[in-house]
Amino acid sequence: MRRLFSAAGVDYGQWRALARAYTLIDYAAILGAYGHAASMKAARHLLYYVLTWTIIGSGSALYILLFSDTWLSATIMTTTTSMLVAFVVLAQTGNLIAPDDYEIVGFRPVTSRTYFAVRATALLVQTTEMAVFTGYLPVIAYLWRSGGSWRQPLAAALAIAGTAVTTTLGITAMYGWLLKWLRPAALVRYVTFAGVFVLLGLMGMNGLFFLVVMNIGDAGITFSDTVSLPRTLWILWYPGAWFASYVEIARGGASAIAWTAAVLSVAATGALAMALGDRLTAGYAVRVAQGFADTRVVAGGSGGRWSALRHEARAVTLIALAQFRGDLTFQMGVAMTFVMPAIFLGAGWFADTGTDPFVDHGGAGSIVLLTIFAAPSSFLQTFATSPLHEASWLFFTTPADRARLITATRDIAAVCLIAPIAIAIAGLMWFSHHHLGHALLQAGFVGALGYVNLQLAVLFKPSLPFSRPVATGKRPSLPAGIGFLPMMTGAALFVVSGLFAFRSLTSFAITAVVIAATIVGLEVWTRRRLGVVSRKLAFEG
Amino acid sequence: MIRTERLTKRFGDKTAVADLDLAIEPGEIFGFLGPNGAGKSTTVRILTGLIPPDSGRAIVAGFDVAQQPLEAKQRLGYVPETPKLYESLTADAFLDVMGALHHLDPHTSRTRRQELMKLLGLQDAQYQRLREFSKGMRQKVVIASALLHRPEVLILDEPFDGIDANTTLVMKTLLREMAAQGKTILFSSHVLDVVERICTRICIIDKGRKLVEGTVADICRSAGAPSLDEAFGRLTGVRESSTVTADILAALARD
Repeated sequence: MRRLFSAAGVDYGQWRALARAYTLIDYAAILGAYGHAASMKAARHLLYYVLTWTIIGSGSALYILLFSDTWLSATIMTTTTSMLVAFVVLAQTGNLIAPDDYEIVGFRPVTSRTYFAVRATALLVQTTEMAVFTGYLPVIAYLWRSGGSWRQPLAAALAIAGTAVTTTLGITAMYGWLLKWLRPAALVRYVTFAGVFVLLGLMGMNGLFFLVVMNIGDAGITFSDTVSLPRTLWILWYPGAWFASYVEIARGGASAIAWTAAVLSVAATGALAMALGDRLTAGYAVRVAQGFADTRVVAGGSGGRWSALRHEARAVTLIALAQFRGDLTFQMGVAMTFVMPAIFLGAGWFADTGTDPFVDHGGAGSIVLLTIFAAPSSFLQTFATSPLHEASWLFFTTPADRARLITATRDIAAVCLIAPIAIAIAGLMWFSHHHLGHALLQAGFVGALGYVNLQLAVLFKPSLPFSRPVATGKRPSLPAGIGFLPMMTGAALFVVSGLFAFRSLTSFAITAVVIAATIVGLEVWTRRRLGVVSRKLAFEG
Repeated sequence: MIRTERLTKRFGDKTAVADLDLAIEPGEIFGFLGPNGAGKSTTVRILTGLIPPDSGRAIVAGFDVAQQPLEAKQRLGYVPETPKLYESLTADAFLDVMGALHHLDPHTSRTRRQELMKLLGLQDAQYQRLREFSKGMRQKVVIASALLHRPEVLILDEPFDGIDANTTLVMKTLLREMAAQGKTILFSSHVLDVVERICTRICIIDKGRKLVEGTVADICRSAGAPSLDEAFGRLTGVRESSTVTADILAALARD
């Protein structure tokens, strides 16, 4: 092992010590290093993490059971795996390009390649962990399909592992290449947003799956009759099919194209590994160091703006705007918040095109209502947590009214989240059924219920802005916030809208009065509760 | 004024502050000394309202920090040790935020922050983000924020950490002048030289308990030491510096 590492220019002893330390750090919280509460929190997060990837893996497993074409189902499985790995790697970009520990180990006698190998190992541990949680159901599905034979499940496991490793190597190599032209900070920014788009694609893919299932089911067609992968040379252009060919080969009677695809997969992995072992990593530490030495001055906004705002509202607005301009974590969190509304708006567009709920009397437009399903609590969570949470000392050492700080945060969420969604819905519905008045009423209805959802989120989990730490040892996962409370609210919205609100203008007016009364009632309740709770909030620095 | 009465704070089994009684009058610069882990920062965090005490009282400008926190904090200026800041804010915007949190009207806030930034040599960097600031420049911004609302009481935790010599000189003079105007200043630091020069009275604590309190001369006399350095060492049980140095050199010389 030492010789192998030495040949690659990596010091085995240093690599082993640092890789072990990083792995322990990743699992420190769950192992109880930060106390029982942090351990429980990390365990809950791990459970959520396992469940999320299992659910996504179940999509691949369903395809495997539905499609008779093994290569096609395996290609969907490897595509899903590669997208998930891409998301994890992109979400961890900061660890690879601008690792925090560079200031700790950067001046020690650790070579550039050793340092890079350590970071890449830490990343591979994470992607492998994710691949295991995503891949076990597809492997079981192949076991089921092949009647207990071990060949196809084993090939599927190899395909998943190969996809995970190669995607990680591919993106890592891309970083090394891009770092030659881009500043590390700029690269982190670009790829982090790329991660949001990958996530959007992933969710869209799963959403498409269910739409296809519904439509094909309605037409009385089965998957096995209609869909298969073309066995032509064109398939070799798609890397996902390369690794999927292992399953096709394991099934027996594979074509020359499948064998070629398998050879390409091995060649691609080898080429990427060699590229990383060659020039790309030699200057890695130097480029990261340049990132630290980057003293480019960026002019920020002055205070003094927003003269209409006073006191707590002014303070929260100034901090939020600055964080949005300059804090990548916050930018990404806000972008993530809009992922779900965008998907539901898209789904609502497909499902409800041309339907006017006031004319069709009932649940039409109800998918659009889901745009506010989870967004408020997710948005508030983004506002509450920050890697700079220790800077919240200023909320505790000044005479600021913490209840007002919390409600100011809520008001920003109303303006920046609920209002744009309501405007988008109004435009979409106007374009869809050409009745501006109905579109505005529908948007107002969604906006008002969104605000109720926001009020409930604040009421049950009040937090000062940017004051809570990001969970220690946290793994990158899909946007949280689809909690019990918003789900219940979403279900209530379905019932209200479907059963009553859109039956007539009169029923709509009654619903509007009920919602307005709810908003007022919740406002009174919120003020009373925050008056008590805000005093008990503890500084978490 | 600042007063603590039987102030106690525990973290699990460890008692960080035990029955601490302090009384600091207007016009005083009170040096608060102790070795690492003595309980200085915990006391300061209780006085500023960052954490609540387990028992006892912390009184700032006549108001109990736990019972009347807003009244106490209106009169308090605080410079934390190595302060964390929202780094995307510019110096100007940070001071604007602090002014808003102290409920200053925007015009007053703008006038005062421009004045303070000029006095502290920050005017050329006022629209730069705090992320780009050196440690000393950040410290200057935080000092400006502590003075922005003209507090009656100043609590400074290692305030000169990273600050250049010229600004340190200005700050020392400023603190003396503020004390002369009747402000109450608590100065927590490890730098004995600075404490010795500017503080009118000193308290040394260790393991959460007050060891000694008085002027430099009082403390030296009670410890039977010729200087504050030696008195601090004797009172906090630190071995003679020459012995420690010899032991370290011997350890380094071993294979």
